[in-house]
Amino acid sequence: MNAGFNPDHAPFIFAAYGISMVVLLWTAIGPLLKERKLKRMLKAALRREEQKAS
Amino acid sequence: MWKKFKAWFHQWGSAPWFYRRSTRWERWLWAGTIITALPALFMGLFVVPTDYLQGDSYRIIFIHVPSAWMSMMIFGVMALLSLVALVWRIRTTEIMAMACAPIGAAFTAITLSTGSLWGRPTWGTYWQWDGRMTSELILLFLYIGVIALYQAIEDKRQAARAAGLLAIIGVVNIPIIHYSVQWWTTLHQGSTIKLTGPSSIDASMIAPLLLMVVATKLFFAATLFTRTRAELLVQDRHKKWINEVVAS
Repeated sequence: MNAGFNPDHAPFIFAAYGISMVVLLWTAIGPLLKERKLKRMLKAALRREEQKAS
Repeated sequence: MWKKFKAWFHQWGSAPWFYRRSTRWERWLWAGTIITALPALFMGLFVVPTDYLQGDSYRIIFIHVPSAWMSMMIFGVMALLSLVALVWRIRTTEIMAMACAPIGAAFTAITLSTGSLWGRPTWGTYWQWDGRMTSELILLFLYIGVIALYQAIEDKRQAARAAGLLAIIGVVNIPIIHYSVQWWTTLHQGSTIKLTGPSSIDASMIAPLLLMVVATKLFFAATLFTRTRAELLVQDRHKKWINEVVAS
């Protein structure tokens, strides 16, 4: 296993991996949160309708 | 066999079927993404040896190359889904095609930024207006164009058709990106991994690269399903099947 990176290259490697992780997490988590929020809103609307009907 | 395929193909057109199936598949896709991405990251960063010519900066390829392949593949998938949607008018396929665009744009942005960060220690510059980099930048603009066009038109079915047409026309850029290193003088290196003929990459470096290739594909499938489902919830919020899904 490598003990460490060449200090001249390390900032480029960490920046590349860091940017990628942020972009991918944002791409993945954004729609998951949106779906959850929409479901919660629709559930609340459904509950309101049921209460009205009863 | 053909009948079975036809029935399976038609099922994709059913929004409730897609919603329920994709919810089930998505968990496995996320599990697969994590199982393949973590060892790939660990091997790429800490296990594989330093390159004799490029030094440690070459470790960026384990994210740069799979992202570059994904940026092109997703555009192809988006164009294909758009074509299917235009021919057969399948709404779920339209939504899936449009859900491809932000994911593809994300992978293209990663390709450009990681390539730039690799270029500085390797070539001595962050950017060069050569064939490969410029055509990849055009790909990002095409993705942004598809997203903007889809958002600009209020009727989402019309919007998907217009943006889908742009995706189909824009697919001409994919072979340009691929062959740019052969057609023009460029700083960018040629293909390291070849399907036909021997690859110039060392055998020890192939495993993390291939694991990351699998991880990015699974990631794409999982996020595509989530984005499609979120859009279905928006578009079908007044339909009965959504109430059933939400209530369950």
